[in-house]
Amino acid sequence: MIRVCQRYAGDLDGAGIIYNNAMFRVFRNIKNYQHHGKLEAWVRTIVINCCLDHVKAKGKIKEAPVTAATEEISIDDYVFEKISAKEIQLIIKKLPKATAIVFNLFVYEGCTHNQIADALGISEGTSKWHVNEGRRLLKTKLEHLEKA
Amino acid sequence: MEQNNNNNTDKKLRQLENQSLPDLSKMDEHWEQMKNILQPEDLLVNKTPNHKPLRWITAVVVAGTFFFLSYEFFTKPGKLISSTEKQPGQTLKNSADTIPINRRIKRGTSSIQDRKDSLLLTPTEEQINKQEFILTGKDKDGKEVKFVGVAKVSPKTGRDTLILTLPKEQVTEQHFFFKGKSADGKEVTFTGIAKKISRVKDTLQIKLPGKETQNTPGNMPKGKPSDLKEKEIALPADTTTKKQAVDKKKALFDFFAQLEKESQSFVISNRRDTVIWGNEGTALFIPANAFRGGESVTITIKEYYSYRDIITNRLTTCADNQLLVSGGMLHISATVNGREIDMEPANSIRWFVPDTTDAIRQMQLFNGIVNEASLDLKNLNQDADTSEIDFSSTINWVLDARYFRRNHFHTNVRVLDLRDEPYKRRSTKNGMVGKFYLSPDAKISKEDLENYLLTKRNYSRVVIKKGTGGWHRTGFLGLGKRYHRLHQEIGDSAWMEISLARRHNLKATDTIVTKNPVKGWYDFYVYDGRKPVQKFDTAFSKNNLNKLANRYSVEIRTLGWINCDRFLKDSRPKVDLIVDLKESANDYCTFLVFEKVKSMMSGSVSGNKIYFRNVPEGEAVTIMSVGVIDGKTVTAKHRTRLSNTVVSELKFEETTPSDFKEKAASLDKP
Repeated sequence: MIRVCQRYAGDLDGAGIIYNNAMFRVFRNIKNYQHHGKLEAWVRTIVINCCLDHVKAKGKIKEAPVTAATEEISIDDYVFEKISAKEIQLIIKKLPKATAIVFNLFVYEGCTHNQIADALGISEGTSKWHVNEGRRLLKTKLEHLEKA
Repeated sequence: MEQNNNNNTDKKLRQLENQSLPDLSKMDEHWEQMKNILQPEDLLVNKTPNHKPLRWITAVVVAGTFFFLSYEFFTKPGKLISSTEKQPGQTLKNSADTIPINRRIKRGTSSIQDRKDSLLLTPTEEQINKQEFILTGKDKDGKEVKFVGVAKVSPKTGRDTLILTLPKEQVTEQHFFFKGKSADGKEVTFTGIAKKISRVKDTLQIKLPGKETQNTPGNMPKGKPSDLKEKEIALPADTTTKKQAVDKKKALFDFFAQLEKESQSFVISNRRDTVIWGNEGTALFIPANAFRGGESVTITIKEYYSYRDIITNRLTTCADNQLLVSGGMLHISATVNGREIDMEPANSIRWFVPDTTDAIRQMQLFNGIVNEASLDLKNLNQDADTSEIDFSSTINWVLDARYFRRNHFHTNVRVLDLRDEPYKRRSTKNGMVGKFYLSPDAKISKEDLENYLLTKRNYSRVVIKKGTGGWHRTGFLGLGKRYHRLHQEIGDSAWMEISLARRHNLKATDTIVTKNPVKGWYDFYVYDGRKPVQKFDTAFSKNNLNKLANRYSVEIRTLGWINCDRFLKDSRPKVDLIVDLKESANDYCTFLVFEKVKSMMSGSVSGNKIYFRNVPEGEAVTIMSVGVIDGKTVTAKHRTRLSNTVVSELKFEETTPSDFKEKAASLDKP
């Protein structure tokens, strides 16, 4: 779970704060856990909510310029065999902050654009733009691996 | 189509992330356990809200039972007092075979009565050196009681305490008089008090009433059990059994000593960089002054990359009971004049593993901690206690958390620098116009360069200025703003990374490998042929270093055992495989060898059985076991798939070191 926190916090200290808040919330509400589904998923949802709270507390995400529909961005499968998850996370962390947050929510947490828009107070179009921008920048950063 | 591509990329990212996550499959199970420990009553109350009447009825029944029992105890003592107190004569009369009854204890330990069928006995002075016992006796009612049990030496206490496992007979009494016959017909007599020693196992321990333990049953001590002084008397050492155990261990030790991997020694100079090549492909890059003291250092290495070497040297791949997948192990030591030396703290050696596949990319460095007791059996004597020595487990691996990486060495080539990098480029209706600086030390004339750029680089016109031998500054100066743009002169020979040379289609005239990456102002930074920015390591053979360019390597800072490993991540359910060897498993060396991945574990020994815990269900494995029977070394190799079963059909056959090595080698993938 600390890794989920690290995705949304700038540094390890920030991740620690989020994780601490999340665990506090987990233990305070453990009696309300309904035993439906997996405990891991329940805890993860709380952790993600805490991450979103942390993001919101840092400031509102600006609306992105309206652009055309999402373009085709594909990364060669071979690239994923040459890079570790940790390295990908480092690259994502270096993306613009809003893009990184929306990209993480969409790709790793499986949120829809509608949910992201609700959670972050942005429009769906902005969410789509950030995800696409994230893919594009990631591809650019991984280009050297494709060529090698 | 577009959406599919995007989805595919997202899916790959998620897969990569999931692969790196720890196994949380048991989280729900742990939560259930934790919940039960923390607040079972509260949860029960919450789930069954209206239990008040039932609780009242239960309370009344319990209180009634309590009063009835109290009445029984205090008003009819004749039925309750121990036979040793009330009717000693009668007890002693039948004493030779009598087991006196104490109902108070019987009631107090009803759970024992229901379930117990084991006795942990601490005998007095009689030495018990056989396993089978027949215990006969009579209880107070005159009923014949007969126990047939198997005794064994307790491995945990380390004393000669016997645990009797009695088949299906209930042991209900506290005082015991029983007489046994060992397999060789020798009469053995025990007296003592049974006491429950474990809440879990329902085992009884006989504690003896001081010196009177040698009494015949007729001299059974009087008084309440609590008055008796509890005393545990250890048996004199069973020299025969111990000698056999020690002999077996020594024979096994000798057997494995013959299979020990041969070491390779290299004498190197500590004053310069060196690359060592092992017989099996290991390469060690040792920088100058890597070691403390001494100019001439002897490096000794042992390589373990195949199952043949890993099994024959008993190198398990476990880190605190977590399974590892190994990419190879290495033992390194450094000596000066026979004295072991350490590395300089600031320096490090680089270990290049021979495997160049991507499997190594997820591997990390582990350092080994050796179980000295399992290795040093040379000094064992007959008095030594071998029960505690786990001969199978020789090494535990501790994570050093350094990943293996490629491209530690970089290949650079010397080229005629004709890169298409003009300091100014302009597009006109006739085509592209480029402006270049020509190096003062150019190996190509201005005309030739112009022809080359016009024909090969498709410029419509080129302007070539003569350079000054350094970087050039262009743009506007003054008036508040300054623009500095730096451009490289071309036309001279220069060293550059091979990838950059390929990008510009430049032909290499020479090749060199450096240990430092080319870093600089930008990706296009090039070492100037006239003024090398960094000194190359020309001491090595270029061919050798070229071989290392694509190898995975890691930095090591300590000598000794090192391992290239990753944790085995497997989402399948975990099972416990039990191997029953039908005699003391501690005298055998048994391993579980995984067939798909390079992983080997030793189990935990308990009696005749070996437990391999938390292994992934359905995985194909081979059980390898080595032991000594009648002075001959025997081995068994048994293939199976992991499940919650007991494997007892191991077929042992006589073996020799070379035969065993062949069997181990057969597990290596071709």
